[in-house]
Amino acid sequence: MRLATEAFVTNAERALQDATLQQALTRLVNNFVPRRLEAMAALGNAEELRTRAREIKAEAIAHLDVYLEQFAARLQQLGGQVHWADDAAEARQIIASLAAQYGVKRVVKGKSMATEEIDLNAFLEQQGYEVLETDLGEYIIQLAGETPSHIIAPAIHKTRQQIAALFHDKLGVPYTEHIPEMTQIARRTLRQHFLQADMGITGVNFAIAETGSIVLVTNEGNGRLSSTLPRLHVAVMGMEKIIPRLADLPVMLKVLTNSATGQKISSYVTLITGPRRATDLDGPEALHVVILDNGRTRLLHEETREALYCLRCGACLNVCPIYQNVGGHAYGWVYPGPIGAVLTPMLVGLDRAAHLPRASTLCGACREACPVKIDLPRLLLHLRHDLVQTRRVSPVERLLFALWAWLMQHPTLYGWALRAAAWLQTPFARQGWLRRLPPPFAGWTQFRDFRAVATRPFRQRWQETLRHEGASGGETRHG
Amino acid sequence: MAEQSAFLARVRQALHRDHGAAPGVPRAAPSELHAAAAALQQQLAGQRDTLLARLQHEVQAAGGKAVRVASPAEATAYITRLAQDKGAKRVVRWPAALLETLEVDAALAHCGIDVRVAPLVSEADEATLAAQRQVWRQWLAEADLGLSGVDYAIAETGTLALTARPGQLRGVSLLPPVHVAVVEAAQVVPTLADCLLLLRAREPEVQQALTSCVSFITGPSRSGDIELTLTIGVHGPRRGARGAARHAGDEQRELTRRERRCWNTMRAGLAKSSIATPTTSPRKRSWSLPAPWGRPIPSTRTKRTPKPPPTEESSLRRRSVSSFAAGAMLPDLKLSYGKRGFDGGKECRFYAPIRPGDTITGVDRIAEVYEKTGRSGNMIFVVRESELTNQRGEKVAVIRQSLIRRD
Amino acid sequence: MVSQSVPQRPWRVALFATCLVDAFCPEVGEATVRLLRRLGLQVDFPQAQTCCGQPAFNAGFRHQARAVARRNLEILAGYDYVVVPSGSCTAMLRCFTPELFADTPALAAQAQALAARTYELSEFLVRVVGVERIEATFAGKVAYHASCHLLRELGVKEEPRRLLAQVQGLELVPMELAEQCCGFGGTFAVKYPTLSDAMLRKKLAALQRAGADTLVSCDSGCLLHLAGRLHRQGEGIRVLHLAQVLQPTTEGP
Repeated sequence: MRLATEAFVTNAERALQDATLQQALTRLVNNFVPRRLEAMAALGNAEELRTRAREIKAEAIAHLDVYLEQFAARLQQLGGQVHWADDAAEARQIIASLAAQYGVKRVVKGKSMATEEIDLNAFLEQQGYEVLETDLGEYIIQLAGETPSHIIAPAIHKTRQQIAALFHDKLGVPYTEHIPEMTQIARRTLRQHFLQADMGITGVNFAIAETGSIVLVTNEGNGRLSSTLPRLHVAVMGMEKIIPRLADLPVMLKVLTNSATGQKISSYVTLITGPRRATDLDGPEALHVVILDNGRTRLLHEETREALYCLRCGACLNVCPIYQNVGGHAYGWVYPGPIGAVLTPMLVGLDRAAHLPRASTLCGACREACPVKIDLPRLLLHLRHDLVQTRRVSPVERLLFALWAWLMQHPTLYGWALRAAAWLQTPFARQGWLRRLPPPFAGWTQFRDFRAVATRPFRQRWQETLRHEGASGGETRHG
Repeated sequence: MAEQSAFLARVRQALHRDHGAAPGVPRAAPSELHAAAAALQQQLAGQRDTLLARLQHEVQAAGGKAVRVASPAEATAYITRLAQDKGAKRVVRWPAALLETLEVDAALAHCGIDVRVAPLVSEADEATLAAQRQVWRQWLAEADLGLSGVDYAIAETGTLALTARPGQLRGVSLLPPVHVAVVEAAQVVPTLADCLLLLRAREPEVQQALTSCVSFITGPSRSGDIELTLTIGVHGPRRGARGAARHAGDEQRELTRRERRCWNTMRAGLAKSSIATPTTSPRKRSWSLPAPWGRPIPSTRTKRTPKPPPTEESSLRRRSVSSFAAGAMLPDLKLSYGKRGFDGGKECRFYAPIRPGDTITGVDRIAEVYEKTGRSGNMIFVVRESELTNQRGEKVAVIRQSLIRRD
Repeated sequence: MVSQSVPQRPWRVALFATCLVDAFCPEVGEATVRLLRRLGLQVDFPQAQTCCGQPAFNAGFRHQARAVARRNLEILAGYDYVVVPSGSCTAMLRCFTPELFADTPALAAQAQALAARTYELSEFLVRVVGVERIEATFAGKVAYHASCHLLRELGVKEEPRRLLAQVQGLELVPMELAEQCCGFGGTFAVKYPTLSDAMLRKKLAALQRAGADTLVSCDSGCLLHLAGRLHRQGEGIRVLHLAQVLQPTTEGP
């Protein structure tokens, strides 16, 4: 996927001006946020489940090498094939050679963020394969030539009118804004493709080390169809998708679906253990699992490791006041929202995504929503520290903080500085407010007035009056 | 393409760990598994009724349908009626023992419905299997209704668990527009964890126990991808879709909904009563149709039905379903709910044509009252069924309307 | 003014006023001192204090943050409690300062000790002092803005509301998005003004819908941000720190 992370500020400002997008985002917030809250409350033991889910992921990631090895061995026992991809290019190559090896012409895809990450569709299309997204949202954005703007609701930024026009233009169907009818149109088209496809590509929600199984979670059934009808099933998984045991699945599923859509469980949870057996009359004849690193080993460092616990439920996006205002596209890459602000710089490099960890107030709403309690603010702070350490901040900012630190270590000078500032501001201050600040602080006064420095700062008031009130006043105090 | 060893070595290095220092996955001994499974089964034996009620509630909450029946005959009658209602011509089914005892094939065949039973493949040469797979792929794609059993049903979430074993084709629950699963009371377990325990206790080797695929199915296919508006049946069948595009309003919803019906048949001789709760005596009312009447309403509701004539017909439908008696929306149900009520959808089935000059008599009754907990709190669903007959006493239509009331 | 039921407490309490209070809203500091004294506490303001170090810490300048924070370990040692009229600065002293010194055991121990004694004002009043009744009057419809660090780092949710509920004449009105970030975020408000303002506008729209005439919070950062926008718009809504409501001062904001 094309990287547009550098243009975050421009993208964000455009998004703020986009009335249609703002409407869609309001709908998203009003829908997903209360649904998750109510579902979690109804669970009764949500806190306990989140803690348990976090423990499971922590164990899995801490021993990732062992569990990956075990997963691969178990899958291979059943005739499943495992491929290891260090980066996106390798993953694409692996999938393309599989397509060639099996004489594939048509490909159907279930919804998968990992394949978005490796930009698979464009690559396969270049190689002459017909590739069709079958998740309704992904299908819509594929038709529109766009990218997902939300992890679980990829076409959330589009209105029904836009989709209606898109279907009319691209599929030549009569224009209709009736959502069930639009759904039927997509279904009609997609069903044909499902039946003709030779290769189904899906993501993986969980990979179980103990049994060599992969788990697909969808509401539409696109994962189930893509993994059942074509003769070749290729599943692409980030290497962090591992969970140790089959018995861990119920907990993980519960926190995933309740956080994602507020459902107790999604409509289809498909637990696939190898390709079809000799006596099965349906199911794919071959199953290949592509395990993707693509920068994830960089995240394994203790300080950032918990970012790999992420289940891609989207809950942190929905509650994030930044995401709520700018939507997914502004983030400029596959993963938006708070988790995207952590993953993107780590996967594509800090250089290209320096805005993302900075553009946050660290309000902590994401951590509160996360089903595996990822401490996202702390991860963002860690990345900001990295930015400073690797000298990716402006010289002006460096200088200011150096000055600031020096001043803050010299209280007397600091006190004088306050008085000096109060004196210097007098020509500009109006009733205790400043209307304009000079650069680099001008951003504040673009929309807000700035409170003038008090003519008598607190330390002066303490020195002159408050201190004595305590000593001589008639108030009670200890003897 | 990266080598496994190099890939894993890099991971290990990033984790600052030595090879082999990790805990393996402890395997539960088969005897422990069996003991746990047996204990669970014993514990569940005393909870069947609660579990069934929960299952039914959750299936409905997930947008499916769950009907409890007292006997195999009742189940067969229900399946047959449903297949007819859906205009099914082709039915595919699992060769499950339970389904055999229902003798549903004969009943369906009697109605002119073609039933294909998946073969129980044990061993066959690859050529025969390949041919069978080809044939079944076609049948599954063309079938109007898929009939399966389940391995387990999970009460907590209203989920059906279906493994892919010989004869248990995945496509039966996936491709046809309607999936009907028959569930026995003893197959209902409280949670997914219980289901997984019982599944793996079946075979000494967990990979064998899991088969190539376990599908956990909860309600129909759904999507919220357009403006987060929930729609049902995204990946439903070709035929349903084609018909649906020509229909409007209520009928379409009915047609495109992938219904999952689930029965519990009491084979062990336990008699269970239906949970339907008729609380009031039926009310009668009748009216005559205006003379200038358009085209007759088609006599059967199939997927190919052209769009019914507008205005009069739809206003009739509205009238017949929006007043109970003497203009009252509902009789007094003595419910503590009900300060606000709204339409929960309606379902119209037409059995005979309605013609100009006919006198239509409607008999309303409360067919079902049940409670659900939704996002916005508790809701009481009141399902009213109106049976419309003409002056010759022929049943012309049945309208089921849900009214939702909440506090 | 003096709450009669409160016994004298032999505690030495240090006020960590925070740099924002010091420079921009000294009246909040005054109200805090008077309020604590009224409750029978001996309050001191260690004059060597400046800032908790959070601006640098949040911007990734840990080295600088550490230099500033280290002074606080000494300045604030020797008190029974450190009270801070800010959730955010309390979070810095309690949660992030120990983290900064994690690699230096001696300092880490000092930081832990400081963290254990440090309280945000409302939290201190309710949880430590055990204030049951505050004698204060305030005429107005008040909406409470839960600042992020106070709510989500410190877990202080009900305390400020409980205190406000005790004030005579004060009507606490519910506000939508009361727990949503106002868009301040320290340097964020300067670096990403458009985003910050978008968040701020949502907050103020909620405030308007709530029909309140006064907005109260426990963090001067949020208050300066909110008040700055209200002032720019020429709105007459008062913006006050909790301490100012519990202990009205002679000088207006």
